[in-house]
Amino acid sequence: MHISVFPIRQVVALAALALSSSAFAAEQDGQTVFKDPKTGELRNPTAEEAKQLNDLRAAQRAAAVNARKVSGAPPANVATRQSNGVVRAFLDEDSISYSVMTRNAAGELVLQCVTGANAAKEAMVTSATTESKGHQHEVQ
Amino acid sequence: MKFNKRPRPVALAAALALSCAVAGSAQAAVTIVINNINEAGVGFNDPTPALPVGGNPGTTLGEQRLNAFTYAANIWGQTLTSAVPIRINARFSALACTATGAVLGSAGATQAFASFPGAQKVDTLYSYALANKLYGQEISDTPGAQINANFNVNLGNVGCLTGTSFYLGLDGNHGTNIDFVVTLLHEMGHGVGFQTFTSGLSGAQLAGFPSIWDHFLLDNTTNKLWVNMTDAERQASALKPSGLSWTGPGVTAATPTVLSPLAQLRVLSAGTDSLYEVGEADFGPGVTSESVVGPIVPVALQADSPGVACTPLDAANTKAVNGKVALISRGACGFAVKVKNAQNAGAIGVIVTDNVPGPVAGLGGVDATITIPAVRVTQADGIEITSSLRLRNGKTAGTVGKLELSKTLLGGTDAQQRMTMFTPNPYQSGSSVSHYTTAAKRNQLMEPSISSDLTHSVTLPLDLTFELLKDIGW
Repeated sequence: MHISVFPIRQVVALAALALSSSAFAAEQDGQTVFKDPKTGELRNPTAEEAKQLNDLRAAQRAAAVNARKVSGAPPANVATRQSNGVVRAFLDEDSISYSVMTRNAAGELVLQCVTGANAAKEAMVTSATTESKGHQHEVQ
Repeated sequence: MKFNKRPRPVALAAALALSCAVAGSAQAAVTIVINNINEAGVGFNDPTPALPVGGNPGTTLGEQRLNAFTYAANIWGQTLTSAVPIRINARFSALACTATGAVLGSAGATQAFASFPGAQKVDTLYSYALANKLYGQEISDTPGAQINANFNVNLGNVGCLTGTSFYLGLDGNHGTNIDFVVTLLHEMGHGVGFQTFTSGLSGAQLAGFPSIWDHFLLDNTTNKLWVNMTDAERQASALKPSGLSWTGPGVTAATPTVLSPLAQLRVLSAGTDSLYEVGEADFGPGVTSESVVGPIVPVALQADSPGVACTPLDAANTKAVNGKVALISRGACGFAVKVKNAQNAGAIGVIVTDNVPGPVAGLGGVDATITIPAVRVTQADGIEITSSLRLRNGKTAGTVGKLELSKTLLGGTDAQQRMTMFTPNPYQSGSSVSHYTTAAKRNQLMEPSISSDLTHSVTLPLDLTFELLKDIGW
C-alpha cells in the first residue's frame, strides 16, 4: 500500500517534462530520474521537475480521496472497529492487482502483474523495454 | 477498490448472479458467486455472435466471456473451502491501453479484517474472503462482494494492444493471444489472499497492522520475519534478490515436488572439489540429469576474432577443446555465437566467464542448432576457475568440469528449499514481494510475469499457489 506517503524516489517521467495530467511517474527506490522526451535518455530531474512530479502525484491522490468522499464511500486504508469488535479496513485501488500486457521492442508480449492503479499505468510504458521471462538474459 | 464505481441500481437490476458450484460434476468446496455487473449489451452481455472455441460453447462474445470467467472461478471454487460464499463483482469496461500496451484487467479484495475469532494471528489483517472463512460467517458490518474484478473490453481492437485479444477457450490453446483463464486465475489468487497489504516500498503496514503474509516472510540474510521488522528493515529486505523466503510449511514441503533442481558447475582440480553457481542458457539443451563431464580447456583469443570464440575456432583451439569443456570469456559477440563455435570445434560443453563484476546471470540468445549445454559464471568465479587450470609449476592441472544438477538446491528456493519471493533491486512498484520469484524452475501462476506455458492448475504437483493460501489459513 502506498497510501499515506509518497516518497518520490526513482521517477521516470513518461511524458514531456512540462508535466500534464496524463503524465505519470514510477516510484522506485533510489533517486529521481527523468526520461527526457527530446533525447530519450534517462537523467536526474531538476529540483523543480521533481517538485512538479511530487505535486502531480499528490494532486492525483487527493483527487482520488476526494472522489471517494464525494461518492459517499468510506475512507480507504483506515482501520475502524466494527460493533462486533472486529477491525476492518476498506481497500482502494492501491490494493488491486492489475494485469498489464505490453509489446516490447523485440515484438514479444510481456505480461506483468502489478498492484495499484499507478503501478499499472507505469507498467504500460516501462515494461515495453523489458523482456519476457525466458528471455531476460543479456545476449552478449 | 473504488466504491464510487458501485453499480448503479439500474445496473444491479440487470445483474446476473451465477453460482459456479452448479457447473460440472465436481463438488465445490466453496460457492463462488459471480455478479455480472455489466449493463445490457456490454461486456459479459455483449451479443456479438461468436463461434465456440476451445471447449467454450458460448455463441456470443458475452457468453464466452462469462463461461471462461465461470470456468476459472470454478477451479478456485473446487480448491478452496469455506462455509461463506465468495462473491465477485465482475465486469468488462474500457481500461487504459495503447497500441502496444494494455491493462488486461484487475482484481482485488474489497475489505481486510483483523482481530476476529478464528484468526490464526492476532491483530493481523486478512483479506475479506479468507476472513469470512476463518470467522465462519459474514464478518463485515458493511457486507458486499469480497472481490472486485474488471477486464478490458477493448482489448485487441485498433489502438488497444492491436490484434492481441483474450483467448476465451478453456483448453489453454491460446496461441499468440492471452489465455483469459490464466489471467483470471492469477488475479483471483490475489483477490483471495495472495498478497501482503504491507508496502515493500516504504515498509509501512496498512493502517498500522501487519498482514498475515508478514508472519511468513523471512529475510534469509538476517533471519528476521517481516512482522518483527521495522519499516526500514522491511524496505531493505524487499530489495534483496533471493533474500526474502516464504516460511510457510505447506509451500516449503512442496517445493521439491514442484520445482526442478538448479544447475551447477562442479570443478575438480588437484584434489579439490568446488561447486559454482551458474546461470543457464536460453538456447541449447540445458543442464540435465545426465551430467556433462570433461577437462576444462580455455579458448584462446584468435587474431581474426574481436573476442574469444567470436569466429570459427582455429586449428589450435579446435584441437584443444575437442571432446572437452570449453572455457570462454564473455565479450565482443553473442553468447550463442561463442557456444556454436565451440560446438563446431567439438566441445561437449561451454563455461562462459563474465567480463564484468556482478551476480551470476543467464546466457541470452537464440540458436536452435546448439546441442551442447552452456553455463555462465561470475567474473570472480571465472578467475578462480582459470587459475585452477595450471599448477604452480605451470603444468596443466587436469582440471575437470562437471555440468550437473544440484541434489539439494531448487530453482526458486533458498538453501533450505524455502520458496523465495520476487524482490528485485530496484523495487518494482506493485510487483515486488507479493509474487513468487521469477527464478522458479517450473513457471508458477503467481509470478509477476505470467508465462505462456502455464497450465490452469493452482495445486500440486504443478503449482504452489494453493499451498501458500493454505499456509495463511485457507
